[in-house]
Amino acid sequence: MADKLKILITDDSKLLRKKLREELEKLDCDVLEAENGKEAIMRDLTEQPDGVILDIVMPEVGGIETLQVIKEINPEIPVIMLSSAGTSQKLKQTLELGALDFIQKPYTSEQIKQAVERIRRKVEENHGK
Amino acid sequence: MANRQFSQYLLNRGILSSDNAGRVLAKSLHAVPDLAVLALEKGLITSQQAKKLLGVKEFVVAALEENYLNALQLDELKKAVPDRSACLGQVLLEEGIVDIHTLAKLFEDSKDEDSHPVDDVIKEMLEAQGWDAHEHAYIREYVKLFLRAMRKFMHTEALIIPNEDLDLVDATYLIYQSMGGALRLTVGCRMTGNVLLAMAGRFSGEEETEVNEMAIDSIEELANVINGLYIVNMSGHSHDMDLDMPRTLENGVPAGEDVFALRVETEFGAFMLYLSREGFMLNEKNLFGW
Repeated sequence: MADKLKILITDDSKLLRKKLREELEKLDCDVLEAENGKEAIMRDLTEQPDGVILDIVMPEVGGIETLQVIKEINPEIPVIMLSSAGTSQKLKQTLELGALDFIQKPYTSEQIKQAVERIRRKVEENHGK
Repeated sequence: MANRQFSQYLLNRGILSSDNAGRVLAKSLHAVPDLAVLALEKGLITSQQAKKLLGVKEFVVAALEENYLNALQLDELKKAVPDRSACLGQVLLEEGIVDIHTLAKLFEDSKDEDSHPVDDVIKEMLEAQGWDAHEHAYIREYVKLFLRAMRKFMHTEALIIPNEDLDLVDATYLIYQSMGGALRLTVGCRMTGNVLLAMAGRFSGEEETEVNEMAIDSIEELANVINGLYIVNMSGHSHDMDLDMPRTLENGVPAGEDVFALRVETEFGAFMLYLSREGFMLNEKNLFGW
């Protein structure tokens, strides 16, 4: 693993991607972007990020399906859900599918900092195996 | 907290109206309340005392000499960040809409725990349409959440002006989103480009000068966040709901038998808010595409 975490942001909102990129770069992460689930799966396959931050409500392939596929490809990859659709049902469903955490929009900088820390710990655990 | 709905309370009491609400709200944004108004709003002095202190340059000296306030109260007053109620109160006085005695009564009455001005106005509107207020409780819940979100994300006082449409002659934009699952609800906001830019800018924290892809993206994300909070709230009441993608139409006007329309007044202008269980009837050819 390189020192810098490589994080894939998947959200159809340009504003969200721009703001989140700024947050992650401040936390010394390399950032990849995808605007829908299909693109996220492709980028996961080709660029192998250390972690994924994933929205749920997206065009074409939604976040739940994307989470399922990404976890099939790489069961150990840490995925943090970041969505406005944080109902108890969605929370339960995504955690059962292997998401590491769920952040309800709008997020705070502190939540993103903690999410990055969780991704880092998970990556270190995976490498220690 | 009842006092956070002070502007709606003023409208319901007939102090504000569709003629002056926009101007008063916009002016309140930059209003600096007199220390006497601040003290009155906090219930520290009476209206008689406020009248004596209003506009007095040496406020602290006068308040101490008259024994109206002690040093600790004055210190706290000077450090206090004026809330919206005090700013609105200041504008009402400056505009000659109320005198200090009426303002004191309004401050006091609006703090009553039984004061629910937003609920009251929605119930009144529902009844005027012949709709059962209990059956349409989802409308009351949504509107209350929406106005709270306006304050939180738009940093604006916002109020409902009942039973009035907006005369929107310029090009307008309709931003709408459907929610499904246990309860179906479609919600939309129709506004001019200027109001859209103000809202998009306040949400994104960036200056938005033209209605472009980024401005539309920002306003749709705002809709997504507000509606997300609504479905999360509903999931706490065992109603599992989903969000569809937010969409934007140019010059779209929601139609349909069950469309409930409200005029929302804010510090940066007015817009229409629409809610429907059945969904909007819209001309899809107007889809705003990039």
